Amino acid sequence: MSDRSPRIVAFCCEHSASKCLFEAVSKGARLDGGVMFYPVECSGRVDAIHILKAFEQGADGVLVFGCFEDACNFVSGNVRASKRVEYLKAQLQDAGLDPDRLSMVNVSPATPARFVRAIDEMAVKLNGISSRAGFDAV
Amino acid sequence: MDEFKLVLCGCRGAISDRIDINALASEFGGTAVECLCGEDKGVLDGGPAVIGACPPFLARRLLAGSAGTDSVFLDLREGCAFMYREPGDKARELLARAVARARAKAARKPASSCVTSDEVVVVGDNPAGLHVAGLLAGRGKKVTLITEAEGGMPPEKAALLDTAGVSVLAGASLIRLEGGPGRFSLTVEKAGEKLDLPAGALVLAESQNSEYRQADHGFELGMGIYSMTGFSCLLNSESTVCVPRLRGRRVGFMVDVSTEHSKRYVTQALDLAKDVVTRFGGEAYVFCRDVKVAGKGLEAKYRQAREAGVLVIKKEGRAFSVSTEEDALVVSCHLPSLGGQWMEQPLHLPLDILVVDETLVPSKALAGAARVLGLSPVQPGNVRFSGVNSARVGIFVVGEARADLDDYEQALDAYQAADEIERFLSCVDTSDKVAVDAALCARCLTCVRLCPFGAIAIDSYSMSDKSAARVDGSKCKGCGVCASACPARAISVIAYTDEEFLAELASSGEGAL
Repeated sequence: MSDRSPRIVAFCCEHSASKCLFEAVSKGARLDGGVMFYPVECSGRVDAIHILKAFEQGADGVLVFGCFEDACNFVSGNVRASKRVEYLKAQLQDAGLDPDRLSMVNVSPATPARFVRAIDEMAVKLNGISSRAGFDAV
Repeated sequence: MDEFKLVLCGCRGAISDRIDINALASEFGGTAVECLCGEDKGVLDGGPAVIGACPPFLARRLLAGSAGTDSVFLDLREGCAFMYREPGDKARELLARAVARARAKAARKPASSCVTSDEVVVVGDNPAGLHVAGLLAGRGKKVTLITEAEGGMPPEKAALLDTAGVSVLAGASLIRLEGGPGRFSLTVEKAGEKLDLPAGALVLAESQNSEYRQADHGFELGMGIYSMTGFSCLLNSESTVCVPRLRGRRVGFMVDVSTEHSKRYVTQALDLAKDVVTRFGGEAYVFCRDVKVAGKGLEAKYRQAREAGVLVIKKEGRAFSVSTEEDALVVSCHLPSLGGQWMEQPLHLPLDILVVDETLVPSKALAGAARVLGLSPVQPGNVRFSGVNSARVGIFVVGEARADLDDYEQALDAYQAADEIERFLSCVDTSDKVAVDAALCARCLTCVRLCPFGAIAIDSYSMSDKSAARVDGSKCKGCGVCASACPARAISVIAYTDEEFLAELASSGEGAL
């Protein structure tokens, strides 16, 4: 078990997740300090290279926040993102990393609670993963 | 720090109470101000800046026009609400990230451009379109309204528009659209002549028509069966032959068949049914699925119709049929009885007249204009396009041109469109959203296939011609779907390039993450 809180890179769609963050904080939610938000225009913008570089730079987990299906500001960006995330999960597994370290979550500006829960769940999951014997060596 | 300004906003205490922005500003060589969207707006000079304020989606809107389009925004207000570290430390980390990103951006020197315009062209003359034309003209915009209607507008409409200062081109149709947002150029054909019109923004305000669809109902019109529009014309006509014949008739109205929960047809049916009873002394029945849920004011209309003597029958669950055999119209349905049971015997209701609902189809003018503007004639049901925004930047869709709306919603549309257009025209960002590296582009068509807005085209496939994928600035919204899918990595999103992201990631505190 590491002594610090897990470092999560969260890509936030500006049309949903960034607004969730705004809503959540203005309603008094306090998020874990280890999470880093990267606002992007669309979750479809998040490329494999961004996610892999984040892991390379030491992120424990990566969350991609996009809009709900059929609600993407750019029609299909969120669908592209979720397909990419599914593909990368398989790649992570091949590389010996736990695929649970990466996850795509659909949110809308009206679901700040879902947004906060996704981050909390990821943090809990990452604590579990890093406590597994020998895993931190990867 | 010559290439960009660094400004931190205190948000009147919302940020400065938690974070010592003065100390941060001096540490990074910037300025701290009290309220950037209010009295301190003058600090920004339209050039590139790193701005620490409220969340980017808000700040970008509040500071449009004063902050350069290539500024980097960081969220000091909500982004620093963390329990695990001091807000000041978090702010320092975010600031370091933003500065790293701004440096990477400055190294690329993207062109920032912002044009203003005061010319608006409204295509079509539906009520919301007329309203928005009047509103914008009242706010000092130069508004031209194009309508295909032959012989011009009805005099009262024309007089209203004239008073408002809207110039009207009647009997004209849109045939071509060129240029991008803020500098559209329209070609309009009027009586065989071609006219060119400049426009900063466009409003599509054509109408939809009601059309009877036989496939939905299974029987033809005629033999006492009328469409809603037809019956409405008949009832409101001055004819001395038809109107007396309607006295004392038994009329049935069928809604929720072609279009479920259509406020237009439900409202029309309740109004007409009330008329049948009160003006013509007949009997009226409305067969529906749900009359009250479709729109505003239907609850009251439903009550008034029932009080007038209209019988509303809910068709649900069991068989419901209309027989037109032997020249007699009979509606049969099962009615629910007490205790959740259905009545044994179906109700057979002979009718003199049956009025059936229709479906809305885009008018010829709407379909034609939508094709020229590159929009779908029926706006997609995506919640993000709710309201007057269309899939194209600088083109707005109001009233019937986008959905089946009642008068109240049409008025709302007009106000929303007027506000959106005014804000849009105050600073139209004409810079390219994405850049294509022609040397890398393999013309593989991946981006062309994936672009949600059809903004990318490849003009030539010849081996001698080295042209690359071309992005149409008026369609591109800068989502970056193409950039992340391009196998050759030839496309980059100018607002947030991969280099910027990597620079930001590498600067994220503690060496790495």
